[in-house]
Amino acid sequence: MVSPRAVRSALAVVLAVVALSGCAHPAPGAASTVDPSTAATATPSHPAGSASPLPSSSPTAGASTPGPSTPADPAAGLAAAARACQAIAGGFSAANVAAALAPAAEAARNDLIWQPLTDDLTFIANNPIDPNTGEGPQKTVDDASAVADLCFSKAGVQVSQD
Amino acid sequence: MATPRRTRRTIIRAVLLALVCALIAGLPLAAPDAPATAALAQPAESVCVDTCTNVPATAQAAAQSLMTSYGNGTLIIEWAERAIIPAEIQPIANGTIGQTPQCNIDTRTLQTLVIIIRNYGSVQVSDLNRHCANDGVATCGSNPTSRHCVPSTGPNAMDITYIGGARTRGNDSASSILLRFLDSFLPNGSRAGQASGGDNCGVYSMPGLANISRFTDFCTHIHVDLGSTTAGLRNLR
Repeated sequence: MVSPRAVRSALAVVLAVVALSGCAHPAPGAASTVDPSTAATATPSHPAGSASPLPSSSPTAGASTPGPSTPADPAAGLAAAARACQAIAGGFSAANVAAALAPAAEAARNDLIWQPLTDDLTFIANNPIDPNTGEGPQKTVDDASAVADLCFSKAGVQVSQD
Repeated sequence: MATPRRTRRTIIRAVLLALVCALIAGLPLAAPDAPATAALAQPAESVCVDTCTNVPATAQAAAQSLMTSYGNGTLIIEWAERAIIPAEIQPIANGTIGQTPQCNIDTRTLQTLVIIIRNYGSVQVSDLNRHCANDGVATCGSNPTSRHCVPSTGPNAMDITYIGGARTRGNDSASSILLRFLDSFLPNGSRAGQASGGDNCGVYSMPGLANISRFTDFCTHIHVDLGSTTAGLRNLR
């Protein structure tokens, strides 16, 4: 026969499991803590599919695909991308963008997920916004947002959009 | 058979477990808004209805309303950006902004500030168009792609540091209340710059929004802009 003490213990365990499993499910509409991978939601200026959402160790063929002598190195790509993003962390001034170009290109050579970074920075460098009047292509502004998004979500670097 | 004493102990355990569950699951949903609601100077709409009625339709009319608000202390401009009034809002209100077009502000931004003042009683602003008013650090030279600097026809960004006497740092309950309200009338594609949670700003927790996306920003203010959309404010009556 099962002792009353054993029954009580089992009941307490069941209650604990039920209670904790209920806690594990977020309630509808619950506020969520934003993590770096989901914080920025600005739409990238690149068409869907132009950049892999995950680091790729086997880049697809393309004009800028690393050749056999420069094998993809995601870690080196990330490090170079972080340097590029840090160069523009304070904003997209002409000097900052110019300083970011080389590490961005290095990042793309090592990992194609950074190709949009170098493409966008190249466009921004070649089509700057006039800091005195605000005149310039809309694409430059949108690319800057996309770069900031990419830097935060994939390189963990906050780039000013303010 | 269990003794009454043991039964009571089991019930107490069950109640304690339920309380722990409620603490984990329930309180984060209810807590954030309470302090800011208490701090706000007047009852506010959570969805723009009355405050979206008869909003000034033109930039000049909205700027005139803001000049009135500035005069009675319900529009407050931070000292470093005090040129916002003489260089930006006053010329728009006077109809002379054409002489300094680089100082213009998007009509929707002016309307939004009018609505915020109506709803919360007051607003404190730290940045609008940086071409003509800035703190010397955050300038259009340092970040020309900022929505405080583009488009050339009139930037649409606003940095807000208080609503109705409640501080808005981007990651707090007052910012959360403001964003829900703004989400009810800003055009889809609008954006909010908020603390990332990684810059000593504390826990970053915000409501789900339908029309405003987010980017990371420092927690000295809540940044709001209209992105690249040219759509007007929604739900104006």
